[in-house]
Amino acid sequence: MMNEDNYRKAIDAALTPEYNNMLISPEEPHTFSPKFEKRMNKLIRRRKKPYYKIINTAGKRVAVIVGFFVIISFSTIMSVDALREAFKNFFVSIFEKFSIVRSSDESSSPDSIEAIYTITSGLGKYTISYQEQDEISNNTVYEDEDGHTIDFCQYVKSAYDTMINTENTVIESIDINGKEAMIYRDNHNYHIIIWDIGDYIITINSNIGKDELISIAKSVQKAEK
Amino acid sequence: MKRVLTVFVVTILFSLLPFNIIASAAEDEPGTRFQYISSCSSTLTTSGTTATGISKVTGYNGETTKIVITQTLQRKNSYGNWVYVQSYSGTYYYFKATLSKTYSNLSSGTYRLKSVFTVYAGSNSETVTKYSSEKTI
Repeated sequence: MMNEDNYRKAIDAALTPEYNNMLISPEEPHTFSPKFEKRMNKLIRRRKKPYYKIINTAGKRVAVIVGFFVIISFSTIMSVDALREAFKNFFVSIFEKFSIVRSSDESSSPDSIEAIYTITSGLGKYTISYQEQDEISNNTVYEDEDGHTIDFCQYVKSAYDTMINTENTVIESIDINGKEAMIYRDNHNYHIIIWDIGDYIITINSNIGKDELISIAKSVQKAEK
Repeated sequence: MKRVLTVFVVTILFSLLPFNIIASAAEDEPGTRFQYISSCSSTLTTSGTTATGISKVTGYNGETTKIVITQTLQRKNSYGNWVYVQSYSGTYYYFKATLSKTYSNLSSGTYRLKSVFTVYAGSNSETVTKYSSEKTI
């Protein structure tokens, strides 16, 4: 029977040289893998950045990204709000290719067309080519022989929620008989005037000149019964 | 794991960002161009258990050759999803058109009108969708 002391000696004699061969000599330099080296270099470069402390953990990076999107989102809303303030009678939401215009004052408006508004001058050479009246609007289209069109429409305020073609255009503000009006020229060279006449929203859409259209807009009056 | 979390958060934010923009309008659609459409609207009015849907679109005189309007009344279900109630279509050969329909005997609930406008200029066309504001019966 081998006692415990002899057993230890036998194990030591048998295994120690083998372990020694497996150990790397301290003098022998270790070669790190290229992937490890690349990651370390990236980490060192990142540490040198002035904003490293802001993004040095995953949580901080997520917070930065969230902050970025919050700022972008608010910028979008703010830009819409800025234009909303520009036209006191309308909510205007501007998108890249179009805008959405809504009346901001529905309190003083009838729910249906009760009084008719019409253009009262500047239509000498025009004939009516289309007329339509429904619960929420009254529409007349005038055309002349030269291909000019004047599209006049009167809307109930609560129903005025319209997408309009405002691609590559700027909506301006003008005065129509003391009322603030929006005017813009769309990508078909049509001028469009939109204003709150008091109890209704009036729109005129035409391919005639701007000044002539403004003059026609100023002639809009409530028709006598 | 952290990278997966970051990608997940960014993906969620990217997917929600458009809704933020749309929130004020609810009609914006990717690709909406307004090449052949001057204006359009979708209006739902209600009285008792009856609703009237009015879909209006204006193209350009001399350019617009045909207009197709499809209006669909939608009702919000208990899960908050919009479901089909009834639909109508009309085809017109003028530069502007109105489709007006009445929906009777509606059950109580919240409704909206979805109007899909397709405006043709010869062989070219453009389709825009506009939703009305919500009305509760």
